[in-house]
Amino acid sequence: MRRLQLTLLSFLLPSISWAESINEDYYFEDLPVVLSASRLEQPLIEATSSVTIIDQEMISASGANDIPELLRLVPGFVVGYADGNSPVATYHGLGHEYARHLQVLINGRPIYSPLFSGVFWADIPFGVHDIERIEVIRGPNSALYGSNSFNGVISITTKQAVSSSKSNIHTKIGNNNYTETYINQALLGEDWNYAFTLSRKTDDGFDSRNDAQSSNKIYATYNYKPTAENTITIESGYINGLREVGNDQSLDIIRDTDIENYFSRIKWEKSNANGDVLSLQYFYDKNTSDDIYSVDVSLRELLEFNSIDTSPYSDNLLDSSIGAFNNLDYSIFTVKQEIELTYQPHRGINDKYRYITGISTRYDEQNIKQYFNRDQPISTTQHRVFYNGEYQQDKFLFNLGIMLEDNEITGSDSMPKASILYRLSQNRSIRYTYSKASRSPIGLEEFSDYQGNLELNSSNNALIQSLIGTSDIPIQIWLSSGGLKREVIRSNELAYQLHSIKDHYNFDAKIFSNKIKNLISSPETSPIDFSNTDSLETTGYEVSFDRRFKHYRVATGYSKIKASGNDIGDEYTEAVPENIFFFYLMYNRNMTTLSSTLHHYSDVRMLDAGLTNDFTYLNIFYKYQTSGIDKRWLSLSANKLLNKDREYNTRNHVEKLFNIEIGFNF
Amino acid sequence: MKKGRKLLLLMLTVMNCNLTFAEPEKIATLIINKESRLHNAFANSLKKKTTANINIKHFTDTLNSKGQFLIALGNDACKMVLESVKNRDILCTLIPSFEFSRLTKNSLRQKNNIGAIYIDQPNSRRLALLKENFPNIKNIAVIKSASSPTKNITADNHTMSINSYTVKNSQEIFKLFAHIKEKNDAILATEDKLVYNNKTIRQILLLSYRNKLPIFGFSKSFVKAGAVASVYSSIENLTEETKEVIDSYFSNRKYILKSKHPKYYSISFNEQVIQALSIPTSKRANGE
Repeated sequence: MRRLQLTLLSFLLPSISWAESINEDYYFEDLPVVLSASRLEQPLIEATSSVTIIDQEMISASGANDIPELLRLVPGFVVGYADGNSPVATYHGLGHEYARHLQVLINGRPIYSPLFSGVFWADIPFGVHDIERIEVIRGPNSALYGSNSFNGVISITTKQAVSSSKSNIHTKIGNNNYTETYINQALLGEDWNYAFTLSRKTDDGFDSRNDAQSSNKIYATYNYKPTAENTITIESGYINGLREVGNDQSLDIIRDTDIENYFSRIKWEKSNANGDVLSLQYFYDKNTSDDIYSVDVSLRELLEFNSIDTSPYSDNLLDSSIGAFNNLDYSIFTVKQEIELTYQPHRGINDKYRYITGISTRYDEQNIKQYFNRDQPISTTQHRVFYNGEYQQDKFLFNLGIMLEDNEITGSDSMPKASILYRLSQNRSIRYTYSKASRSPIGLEEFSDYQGNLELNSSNNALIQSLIGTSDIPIQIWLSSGGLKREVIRSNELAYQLHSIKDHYNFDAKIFSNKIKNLISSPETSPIDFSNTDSLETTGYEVSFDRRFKHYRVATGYSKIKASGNDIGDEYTEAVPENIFFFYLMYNRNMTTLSSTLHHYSDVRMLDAGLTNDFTYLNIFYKYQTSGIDKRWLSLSANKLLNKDREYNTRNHVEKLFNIEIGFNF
Repeated sequence: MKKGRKLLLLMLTVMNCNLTFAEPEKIATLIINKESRLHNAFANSLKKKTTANINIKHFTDTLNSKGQFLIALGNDACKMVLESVKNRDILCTLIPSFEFSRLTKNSLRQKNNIGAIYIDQPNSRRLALLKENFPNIKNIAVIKSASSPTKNITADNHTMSINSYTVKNSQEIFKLFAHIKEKNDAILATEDKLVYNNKTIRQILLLSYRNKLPIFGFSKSFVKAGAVASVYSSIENLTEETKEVIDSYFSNRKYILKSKHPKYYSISFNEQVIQALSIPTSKRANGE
């Protein structure tokens, strides 16, 4: 019997081309799961909260100058300007220059200030053009995003090189000395990509205010993939600028402040072939401003502050300087650091259960010497553990999440969320959601010791002594007794959701009932202290609709809210508008885009600005853009066309804003 | 009586011998790389399905003469048998059609009865996946390198058009992407290691997602990674067809082995990506 001797020789000497050939492993090799559930948008009809997505199409056809302007396209949002460089956005009211009841995330990084608990929108080191998508959760979601996710969560995703693979430059000018110059470069390599933006912006703000600003911004993202399973992302931003603050009344004189902010985020993500994702993220964020000044005080100001009748005295005497507050230091210093580890296993097509879990530690330092009366910053630490699980059984989707949070001010708390969703059909679902969320007291509420030491002119000592009984005048404005508890919201929602991919439309409607307790309030007494005295209940309904046609897109939303509560001076009750409405229409054909946004909210009190009237905003936007990849464009926008004469407070005299922008890709 | 019994026994013995000659032992030699999990999975699956005796050999082992029918798994084993084995009946499988064509150009095929069940799908089937499930996709981009082993894809009807792009390196894909997006509704990925490999796949899928340009793959793992859908043949699909060829071969000694694309195939959809990209679809089902 003849044996066939086969040797390996022929295989040990393969040709080069053979080595590069495609074999069976190419068809069966495991690839890293790139578009995992955590990276993709969740189907809206499976969302366990009401969600609105502002996509790239809406953003580029909005004509918005500031990021909060885009939130006019979200049902239930109130958007305004506390001054020209302080945009404010809130969900269902409770407006404040530092609106404290929203969580804002940029690429997963919370950006609220530990000092004020609000967001300095003007200090974000990138602009509207850098945003890929904004996802807004309309309702509490502390179970996943921690405290501050009280009324809602705004999650901003910036463009990466993979979404803007062309570099571009544009410039925008408008009335009120509005200018914006922007240059962006994006590059992609085989296992890396980066995007880099430089921009400069100036704006004189309201004509009636001294609120001009100028800023220079640098923003960069870099992604590197050393192996198929590992990704490293580095994101950094820097902004410096000059901001005009103050008003011509009392101690808050008009002055310029230098601002400087820097942040850096590094994230390592490991996703295996099963789609399990493990990520470790660290960020560092430092905000500073330089704001030290002195101010003269007149006799009138002193008497009025002490509620002493000024009528017996002549104007000359009343307006004469009796002394000065020297070296008032309102400089801001905050540092935020957080490290977070999350794990999200992949859910296969037939898997019924999926979850995400994680732990994080955050360390904050904060100081405004004038407010805290201390040289060294206050430091606080916060620890979190969270879990969010989802179980699918036939047409039911059960979701349960919980956040356990411990911080040095209020101690430990748990914030759960549970929902049951039933799919009526492939496109329709109904949902019930219960959630509890909280807001931790901020440094100013817990630790403030705000006083001014009036240094009197020696010639006035006797007069002041006779009038107010002392010539040693430390004026105590705020003095926190501390021991504050968290503000807590308990929310119930019943929602109907309709989502048709085929016909390109989304519709959702919900009725809601929210009970808020332990609201932190400060009575109009001096010195001001903070306490958990107020409560608020809001009930109502909200509808949202968005449909794309071939050349048109229509989006609209309406919220009806009824507020009642046990709050001093109806402060919180009046801070909730009864009606909020928006309507957005876009026409897009060939190279032309035309859009208009109408946004209205009824009478509402801004918590830091008193009662104002209703406000209606209308803008019209036009854009002409060449076809092809090297696009050139020209856009015109007219904003605040239907304004009444006041916005946010009585000092902001609104005027129409016009902008023109030209830009091109290269 | 004794004589009669002896005669009967003799007849039975002869009959038994005739039966043995009429039905020889069904032995097929499966030539695999024993270090390959894929090959071992194929072998195990095939052994469960067929009644034939499967003799498994590592592709560098010495072959004995037992078994006329050789089944070679993968490029290496197929190359070995085509170049070194004579006078056998050979079925190659787990091999792409373009690699099999290359191998058979200079092989001993004239002296052997050779066939193949390819691992890759015919272009008509790939296009049918799009046509039947994604009615809004009309313009399809195919990105290839100059050394791409696959043939040009042409649309066989007027409802679709194929736009081919040739790139020199992976960097060029990323530069071309904006241009591809302008002209096309989707990308149909074809086998090309320069364009689609473990490193480039992340950027390509992210580009596809961010630019809302769906990508269709050629394997199940491509779908799992983030492609919208793939038509492919699984191990089970291929072993089922291999089993049928074995049965036909042993039931018909003059059976002529053929080279063809797999008869059985699977389709996989990534529902999460379909939802996220808001791609209108016809009724569909994952399955084989």
